[in-house]
Amino acid sequence: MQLINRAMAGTLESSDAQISIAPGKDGIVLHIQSTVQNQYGRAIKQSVLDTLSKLGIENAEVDVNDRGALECTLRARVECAAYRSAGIEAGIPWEEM
Amino acid sequence: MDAVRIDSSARLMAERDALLERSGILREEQADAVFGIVDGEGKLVACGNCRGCSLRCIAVDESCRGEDMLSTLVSAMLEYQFMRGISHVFICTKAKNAPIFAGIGFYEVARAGDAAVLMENRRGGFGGYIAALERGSGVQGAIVMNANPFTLGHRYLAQRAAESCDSVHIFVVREDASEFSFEDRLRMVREGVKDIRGAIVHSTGLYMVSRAVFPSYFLKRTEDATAVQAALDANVFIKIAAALSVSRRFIGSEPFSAVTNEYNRVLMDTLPRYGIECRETERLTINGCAVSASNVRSLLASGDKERAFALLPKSTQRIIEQIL
Repeated sequence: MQLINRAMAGTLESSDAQISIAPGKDGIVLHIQSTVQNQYGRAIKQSVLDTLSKLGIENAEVDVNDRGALECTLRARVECAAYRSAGIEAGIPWEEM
Repeated sequence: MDAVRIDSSARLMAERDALLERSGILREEQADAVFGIVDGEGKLVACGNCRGCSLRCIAVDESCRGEDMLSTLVSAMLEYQFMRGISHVFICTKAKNAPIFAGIGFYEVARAGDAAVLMENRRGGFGGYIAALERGSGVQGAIVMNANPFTLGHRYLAQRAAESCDSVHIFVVREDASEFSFEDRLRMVREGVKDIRGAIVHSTGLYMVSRAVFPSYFLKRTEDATAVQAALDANVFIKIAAALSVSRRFIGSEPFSAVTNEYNRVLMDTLPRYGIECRETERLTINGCAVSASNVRSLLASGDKERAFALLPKSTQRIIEQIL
Protein backbone atom coordinates (compact mmCIF):
# COMPACT_ATOMS: atom_id res chain seq x y z
CA MET A 1 0.00 0.00 0.00
CA GLN A 2 1.29 3.43 -0.95
CA LEU A 3 0.85 5.99 1.81
CA ILE A 4 0.30 9.54 0.54
CA ASN A 5 -0.91 11.84 3.30
CA ARG A 6 -0.65 12.10 7.03
CA ALA A 7 -3.86 10.58 8.35
CA MET A 8 -5.50 9.76 11.63
CA ALA A 9 -8.08 7.33 12.95
CA GLY A 10 -9.61 6.60 16.32
CA THR A 11 -10.18 8.75 19.39
CA LEU A 12 -8.52 9.49 22.69
CA GLU A 13 -11.45 8.09 24.62
CA SER A 14 -11.10 5.27 27.10
CA SER A 15 -10.84 1.81 25.47
CA ASP A 16 -9.93 3.32 22.11
CA ALA A 17 -6.68 4.27 20.41
CA GLN A 18 -5.76 7.15 18.16
CA ILE A 19 -3.41 6.31 15.32
CA SER A 20 -1.56 8.87 13.26
CA ILE A 21 0.28 7.61 10.21
CA ALA A 22 2.45 9.36 7.63
CA PRO A 23 4.60 8.22 4.70
CA GLY A 24 8.14 7.40 5.83
CA LYS A 25 11.54 6.63 4.36
CA ASP A 26 13.44 4.41 6.77
CA GLY A 27 11.25 1.47 7.64
CA ILE A 28 8.55 1.69 10.28
CA VAL A 29 9.20 4.41 12.86
CA LEU A 30 6.76 3.54 15.61
CA HIS A 31 6.05 5.53 18.73
CA ILE A 32 3.62 4.24 21.34
CA GLN A 33 2.08 6.11 24.22
CA SER A 34 -0.30 3.96 26.24
CA THR A 35 -2.14 4.02 29.54
CA VAL A 36 -1.23 0.34 29.82
CA GLN A 37 2.32 0.62 28.47
CA ASN A 38 3.90 -1.48 31.20
CA GLN A 39 1.49 -4.39 30.92
CA TYR A 40 0.80 -4.41 27.18
CA GLY A 41 3.41 -2.19 25.46
CA ARG A 42 5.04 -5.11 23.67
CA ALA A 43 1.72 -6.66 22.63
CA ILE A 44 0.55 -3.31 21.20
CA LYS A 45 3.78 -2.93 19.23
CA GLN A 46 3.42 -6.46 17.85
CA SER A 47 -0.21 -5.88 16.79
CA VAL A 48 0.59 -2.61 15.04
CA LEU A 49 3.63 -3.99 13.20
CA ASP A 50 1.67 -7.08 12.25
CA THR A 51 -1.23 -5.04 10.86
CA LEU A 52 1.10 -2.77 8.89
CA SER A 53 2.90 -5.77 7.46
CA LYS A 54 -0.40 -7.36 6.36
CA LEU A 55 -1.23 -4.10 4.58
CA GLY A 56 2.14 -4.21 2.83
CA ILE A 57 3.40 -1.03 4.46
CA GLU A 58 7.16 -1.01 4.85
CA ASN A 59 7.92 2.67 5.39
CA ALA A 60 5.84 4.83 7.70
CA GLU A 61 5.89 7.08 10.72
CA VAL A 62 3.27 5.78 13.11
CA ASP A 63 2.17 7.36 16.36
CA VAL A 64 -0.08 5.30 18.61
CA ASN A 65 -1.90 6.95 21.46
CA ASP A 66 -3.52 4.02 23.17
CA ARG A 67 -6.16 4.39 25.86
CA GLY A 68 -6.51 0.72 26.69
CA ALA A 69 -7.99 -0.47 23.38
CA LEU A 70 -8.67 -4.15 22.78
CA GLU A 71 -6.48 -5.72 20.12
CA CYS A 72 -9.29 -5.86 17.56
CA THR A 73 -9.93 -2.12 18.06
CA LEU A 74 -6.25 -1.35 17.72
CA ARG A 75 -5.96 -3.30 14.47
CA ALA A 76 -9.09 -1.66 13.07
CA ARG A 77 -7.80 1.80 13.89
CA VAL A 78 -4.43 1.10 12.26
CA GLU A 79 -6.14 -0.22 9.13
CA CYS A 80 -8.46 2.76 8.94
CA ALA A 81 -5.61 5.25 9.35
CA ALA A 82 -3.59 3.47 6.68
CA TYR A 83 -6.46 3.46 4.17
CA ARG A 84 -7.12 7.12 4.81
CA SER A 85 -3.43 7.87 4.35
CA ALA A 86 -3.44 6.00 1.06
CA GLY A 87 -6.60 7.82 -0.04
CA ILE A 88 -8.50 4.54 -0.45
CA GLU A 89 -12.18 4.91 0.33
CA ALA A 90 -13.79 2.10 -1.62
CA GLY A 91 -12.99 -1.46 -2.63
CA ILE A 92 -11.37 -2.37 0.66
CA PRO A 93 -10.51 -6.10 0.65
CA TRP A 94 -12.25 -6.96 3.92
CA GLU A 95 -11.76 -10.72 3.50
CA GLU A 96 -8.01 -10.42 3.56
CA MET A 97 -7.95 -8.82 6.96
CA MET B 1 -21.61 11.71 25.45
CA ASP B 2 -20.36 12.96 22.10
CA ALA B 3 -18.65 16.19 21.25
CA VAL B 4 -20.53 18.12 18.55
CA ARG B 5 -20.39 21.44 16.72
CA ILE B 6 -22.28 24.07 18.69
CA ASP B 7 -21.67 27.20 16.56
CA SER B 8 -25.20 27.24 15.23
CA SER B 9 -26.94 27.25 18.61
CA ALA B 10 -27.22 30.68 20.19
CA ARG B 11 -28.18 29.12 23.52
CA LEU B 12 -25.14 26.80 23.63
CA MET B 13 -22.83 29.59 22.50
CA ALA B 14 -24.10 31.73 25.37
CA GLU B 15 -23.48 28.81 27.74
CA ARG B 16 -20.03 28.50 26.23
CA ASP B 17 -19.27 32.13 27.05
CA ALA B 18 -20.35 31.51 30.65
CA LEU B 19 -18.24 28.33 30.87
CA LEU B 20 -15.13 30.16 29.64
CA GLU B 21 -15.81 32.97 32.08
CA ARG B 22 -16.14 30.51 35.01
CA SER B 23 -12.93 28.79 33.93
CA GLY B 24 -11.02 32.07 33.70
CA ILE B 25 -10.25 31.63 30.02
CA LEU B 26 -10.15 34.61 27.70
CA ARG B 27 -12.83 34.22 25.05
CA GLU B 28 -11.68 34.59 21.46
CA GLU B 29 -14.34 35.55 18.95
CA GLN B 30 -12.72 34.21 15.83
CA ALA B 31 -13.18 30.49 15.34
CA ASP B 32 -13.54 28.19 12.34
CA ALA B 33 -15.59 25.76 14.42
CA VAL B 34 -16.76 25.59 18.02
CA PHE B 35 -17.19 22.17 19.63
CA GLY B 36 -18.94 21.25 22.84
CA ILE B 37 -20.25 18.39 24.93
CA VAL B 38 -23.84 18.56 26.14
CA ASP B 39 -24.86 16.44 29.15
CA GLY B 40 -28.08 14.44 29.60
CA GLU B 41 -29.92 17.52 30.83
CA GLY B 42 -28.96 19.63 27.84
CA LYS B 43 -26.32 21.61 29.67
CA LEU B 44 -23.00 22.46 28.03
CA VAL B 45 -20.18 20.91 30.06
CA ALA B 46 -17.14 21.26 27.79
CA CYS B 47 -16.13 23.52 24.92
CA GLY B 48 -13.29 24.34 22.53
CA ASN B 49 -12.54 26.30 19.34
CA CYS B 50 -10.71 25.22 16.20
CA ARG B 51 -8.97 28.11 14.57
CA GLY B 52 -6.44 27.58 11.79
CA CYS B 53 -4.02 24.98 13.02
CA SER B 54 -4.80 25.51 16.68
CA LEU B 55 -7.28 24.34 19.30
CA ARG B 56 -8.18 27.16 21.63
CA CYS B 57 -10.45 28.27 24.46
CA ILE B 58 -10.79 24.75 25.81
CA ALA B 59 -12.71 24.37 29.05
CA VAL B 60 -14.40 21.56 30.99
CA ASP B 61 -17.01 22.33 33.64
CA GLU B 62 -15.68 21.81 37.14
CA SER B 63 -18.44 19.31 37.99
CA CYS B 64 -17.34 17.05 35.13
CA ARG B 65 -13.59 17.04 35.57
CA GLY B 66 -12.02 13.63 35.85
CA GLU B 67 -14.61 12.08 33.54
CA ASP B 68 -12.37 12.10 30.48
CA MET B 69 -14.48 14.79 28.78
CA LEU B 70 -11.34 16.40 27.47
CA SER B 71 -10.36 13.30 25.48
CA THR B 72 -13.77 13.17 23.83
CA LEU B 73 -13.70 16.87 23.03
CA VAL B 74 -10.14 16.92 21.69
CA SER B 75 -10.75 13.76 19.64
CA ALA B 76 -13.68 15.41 17.86
CA MET B 77 -11.67 18.58 17.27
CA LEU B 78 -8.67 16.64 15.94
CA GLU B 79 -10.94 14.68 13.63
CA TYR B 80 -12.34 17.95 12.28
CA GLN B 81 -8.82 19.32 11.75
CA PHE B 82 -7.59 16.20 9.93
CA MET B 83 -10.70 16.07 7.76
CA ARG B 84 -10.02 19.57 6.51
CA GLY B 85 -6.36 18.71 5.88
CA ILE B 86 -4.76 20.19 8.98
CA SER B 87 -2.68 17.44 10.53
CA HIS B 88 -0.22 19.56 12.49
CA VAL B 89 -2.25 20.88 15.38
CA PHE B 90 -1.29 23.20 18.23
CA ILE B 91 -2.79 24.03 21.57
CA CYS B 92 -1.95 26.80 23.93
CA THR B 93 -2.73 26.09 27.56
CA LYS B 94 -1.86 27.15 31.08
CA ALA B 95 1.23 25.47 32.53
CA LYS B 96 -0.82 23.60 35.13
CA ASN B 97 -2.83 21.87 32.41
CA ALA B 98 0.14 20.93 30.24
CA PRO B 99 0.51 17.43 31.79
CA ILE B 100 -3.12 16.64 30.91
CA PHE B 101 -2.50 17.44 27.24
CA ALA B 102 0.82 15.59 27.35
CA GLY B 103 -1.24 12.55 28.36
CA ILE B 104 -3.33 12.76 25.20
CA GLY B 105 -0.51 13.07 22.71
CA PHE B 106 0.61 16.70 22.75
CA TYR B 107 4.26 17.68 23.02
CA GLU B 108 5.64 20.88 24.47
CA VAL B 109 7.16 23.44 22.10
CA ALA B 110 7.78 26.36 24.45
CA ARG B 111 6.37 28.06 27.51
CA ALA B 112 5.98 31.54 28.92
CA GLY B 113 6.19 31.06 32.68
CA ASP B 114 3.01 29.66 34.18
CA ALA B 115 0.75 31.65 31.91
CA ALA B 116 1.07 29.70 28.68
CA VAL B 117 2.52 26.54 27.20
CA LEU B 118 2.50 25.90 23.48
CA MET B 119 2.08 22.25 22.52
CA GLU B 120 1.87 20.40 19.20
CA ASN B 121 0.45 17.01 18.28
CA ARG B 122 3.54 15.98 16.37
CA ARG B 123 6.30 14.27 18.25
CA GLY B 124 9.62 15.88 17.36
CA GLY B 125 7.89 18.53 15.26
CA PHE B 126 9.71 21.55 16.63
CA GLY B 127 12.97 19.61 17.08
CA GLY B 128 12.77 18.52 13.45
CA TYR B 129 12.13 22.09 12.28
CA ILE B 130 15.19 23.33 14.18
CA ALA B 131 17.39 20.47 12.99
CA ALA B 132 16.57 21.25 9.35
CA LEU B 133 17.51 24.96 9.54
CA GLU B 134 20.60 25.96 7.60
CA ARG B 135 23.46 26.85 9.95
CA GLY B 136 25.62 29.99 9.85
CA SER B 137 29.00 30.74 11.37
CA GLY B 138 30.85 33.26 13.53
CA VAL B 139 28.83 36.02 15.18
CA GLN B 140 25.22 35.34 14.26
CA GLY B 141 22.21 37.59 14.24
CA ALA B 142 18.53 37.07 13.49
CA ILE B 143 15.60 39.04 12.13
CA VAL B 144 11.98 37.92 11.95
CA MET B 145 9.87 39.64 9.31
CA ASN B 146 6.53 39.28 7.64
CA ALA B 147 7.79 41.24 4.60
CA ASN B 148 4.30 42.02 3.36
CA PRO B 149 5.83 43.22 1.03
CA PHE B 150 9.64 43.34 1.47
CA THR B 151 10.57 47.05 1.54
CA LEU B 152 13.74 49.13 1.55
CA GLY B 153 13.14 49.32 5.31
CA HIS B 154 13.51 45.53 5.67
CA ARG B 155 16.58 45.65 3.48
CA TYR B 156 18.05 48.44 5.60
CA LEU B 157 17.53 46.38 8.76
CA ALA B 158 19.21 43.34 7.16
CA GLN B 159 22.15 45.51 6.04
CA ARG B 160 22.57 47.00 9.53
CA ALA B 161 22.54 43.47 10.97
CA ALA B 162 25.08 42.19 8.42
CA GLU B 163 27.49 45.00 9.33
CA SER B 164 27.99 43.55 12.80
CA CYS B 165 27.40 39.83 12.16
CA ASP B 166 29.04 37.11 10.08
CA SER B 167 25.69 35.41 9.47
CA VAL B 168 22.23 36.94 9.56
CA HIS B 169 19.32 34.51 9.81
CA ILE B 170 16.22 36.06 8.30
CA PHE B 171 12.99 34.29 9.25
CA VAL B 172 10.01 35.00 7.03
CA VAL B 173 6.63 34.52 8.73
CA ARG B 174 5.08 31.39 7.24
CA GLU B 175 1.47 32.12 8.17
CA ASP B 176 -0.58 32.99 5.11
CA ALA B 177 -2.67 35.77 6.59
CA SER B 178 -1.20 38.61 4.61
CA GLU B 179 -1.96 40.37 1.33
CA PHE B 180 1.06 38.75 -0.29
CA SER B 181 1.32 34.96 -0.20
CA PHE B 182 4.12 33.28 1.71
CA GLU B 183 5.75 32.09 -1.53
CA ASP B 184 5.80 35.65 -2.91
CA ARG B 185 7.06 37.12 0.34
CA LEU B 186 9.80 34.49 0.60
CA ARG B 187 10.87 35.21 -2.98
CA MET B 188 10.92 38.97 -2.28
CA VAL B 189 13.18 38.44 0.73
CA ARG B 190 15.47 35.95 -1.03
CA GLU B 191 16.00 38.28 -4.00
CA GLY B 192 16.12 41.38 -1.83
CA VAL B 193 19.00 40.16 0.35
CA LYS B 194 20.87 38.16 -2.29
CA ASP B 195 23.80 40.59 -2.29
CA ILE B 196 23.97 40.92 1.51
CA ARG B 197 26.91 38.89 2.80
CA GLY B 198 25.99 36.19 5.31
CA ALA B 199 22.22 36.44 4.86
CA ILE B 200 20.39 33.11 5.28
CA VAL B 201 16.64 33.09 4.61
CA HIS B 202 14.36 30.68 6.49
CA SER B 203 10.65 30.08 6.94
CA THR B 204 9.35 30.45 10.51
CA GLY B 205 7.39 27.26 9.93
CA LEU B 206 4.32 27.17 12.10
CA TYR B 207 6.32 28.30 15.09
CA MET B 208 7.31 31.97 15.29
CA VAL B 209 4.65 34.65 14.88
CA SER B 210 2.17 31.99 13.84
CA ARG B 211 -1.52 32.22 14.51
CA ALA B 212 -1.06 29.31 16.91
CA VAL B 213 1.43 31.20 19.04
CA PHE B 214 0.49 34.76 18.47
CA PRO B 215 -3.12 35.21 17.37
CA SER B 216 -3.34 38.85 18.41
CA TYR B 217 -0.63 39.74 15.90
CA PHE B 218 -3.17 38.91 13.24
CA LEU B 219 -6.06 40.60 15.01
CA LYS B 220 -4.33 43.97 14.79
CA ARG B 221 -5.64 45.15 18.10
CA THR B 222 -4.29 45.14 21.60
CA GLU B 223 -5.74 42.85 24.18
CA ASP B 224 -4.68 41.30 27.47
CA ALA B 225 -3.33 38.27 25.69
CA THR B 226 -0.76 40.16 23.62
CA ALA B 227 1.95 40.24 26.29
CA VAL B 228 1.56 36.55 27.08
CA GLN B 229 1.56 35.56 23.43
CA ALA B 230 4.60 37.76 22.77
CA ALA B 231 6.42 36.11 25.68
CA LEU B 232 5.56 32.68 24.28
CA ASP B 233 6.84 33.72 20.87
CA ALA B 234 10.03 35.08 22.47
CA ASN B 235 10.55 31.69 24.09
CA VAL B 236 10.12 29.88 20.80
CA PHE B 237 12.75 32.23 19.34
CA ILE B 238 15.11 31.63 22.28
CA LYS B 239 15.08 27.89 21.59
CA ILE B 240 15.79 28.43 17.90
CA ALA B 241 18.51 30.98 18.69
CA ALA B 242 20.20 28.58 21.11
CA ALA B 243 20.34 25.85 18.47
CA LEU B 244 21.71 28.20 15.79
CA SER B 245 24.11 30.03 18.18
CA VAL B 246 22.37 33.30 17.44
CA SER B 247 23.46 35.98 19.89
CA ARG B 248 21.69 39.05 18.48
CA ARG B 249 18.15 39.81 17.48
CA PHE B 250 17.47 42.84 15.34
CA ILE B 251 14.13 44.60 15.36
CA GLY B 252 12.91 47.72 13.65
CA SER B 253 11.39 50.47 15.77
CA GLU B 254 7.61 50.45 15.46
CA PRO B 255 5.85 53.76 15.28
CA PHE B 256 2.55 52.44 13.89
CA SER B 257 1.29 49.17 15.39
CA ALA B 258 0.50 48.85 19.10
CA VAL B 259 0.72 45.06 18.97
CA THR B 260 4.14 45.05 17.29
CA ASN B 261 5.27 47.69 19.74
CA GLU B 262 4.26 45.52 22.68
CA TYR B 263 5.95 42.54 21.01
CA ASN B 264 9.19 44.53 20.65
CA ARG B 265 8.99 45.59 24.30
CA VAL B 266 8.65 41.96 25.44
CA LEU B 267 11.60 40.93 23.23
CA MET B 268 13.81 43.73 24.62
CA ASP B 269 12.85 42.61 28.08
CA THR B 270 13.16 38.84 27.68
CA LEU B 271 16.01 38.09 25.26
CA PRO B 272 18.89 39.67 27.25
CA ARG B 273 18.01 37.36 30.15
CA TYR B 274 18.91 34.45 27.88
CA GLY B 275 22.14 36.00 26.65
CA ILE B 276 20.69 37.36 23.41
CA GLU B 277 21.30 41.00 22.71
CA CYS B 278 18.25 42.75 21.29
CA ARG B 279 19.01 45.71 19.08
CA GLU B 280 16.30 48.06 18.01
CA THR B 281 17.17 49.90 14.83
CA GLU B 282 15.57 53.21 13.95
CA ARG B 283 13.33 52.86 10.92
CA LEU B 284 14.59 54.00 7.56
CA THR B 285 12.96 57.22 6.44
CA ILE B 286 12.61 58.26 2.82
CA ASN B 287 11.55 61.83 2.05
CA GLY B 288 10.86 62.35 5.75
CA CYS B 289 8.46 59.43 6.03
CA ALA B 290 9.14 56.14 7.89
CA VAL B 291 9.18 53.22 5.47
CA SER B 292 6.59 50.66 6.44
CA ALA B 293 5.01 47.76 4.62
CA SER B 294 1.54 48.80 5.71
CA ASN B 295 2.16 52.20 4.14
CA VAL B 296 3.21 50.51 0.89
CA ARG B 297 0.06 48.38 0.93
CA SER B 298 -2.25 51.34 1.36
CA LEU B 299 -0.44 53.24 -1.42
CA LEU B 300 -0.80 50.23 -3.71
CA ALA B 301 -4.44 49.85 -2.77
CA SER B 302 -5.13 53.48 -3.65
CA GLY B 303 -3.39 53.00 -6.99
CA ASP B 304 -0.39 55.20 -6.20
CA LYS B 305 2.17 52.79 -7.59
CA GLU B 306 4.85 55.43 -8.06
CA ARG B 307 4.98 56.45 -4.41
CA ALA B 308 4.70 52.84 -3.27
CA PHE B 309 7.57 51.74 -5.52
CA ALA B 310 9.79 54.51 -4.14
CA LEU B 311 9.81 52.53 -0.88
CA LEU B 312 10.62 49.17 -2.48
CA PRO B 313 13.83 47.59 -3.77
CA LYS B 314 13.95 46.75 -7.49
CA SER B 315 13.56 43.03 -6.74
CA THR B 316 10.25 43.55 -4.90
CA GLN B 317 9.03 45.93 -7.63
CA ARG B 318 9.68 43.20 -10.22
CA ILE B 319 7.80 40.57 -8.22
CA ILE B 320 4.83 42.89 -7.64
CA GLU B 321 4.72 43.70 -11.35
CA GLN B 322 4.52 39.97 -12.06
CA ILE B 323 1.68 39.44 -9.59
CA LEU B 324 -0.45 42.48 -10.43
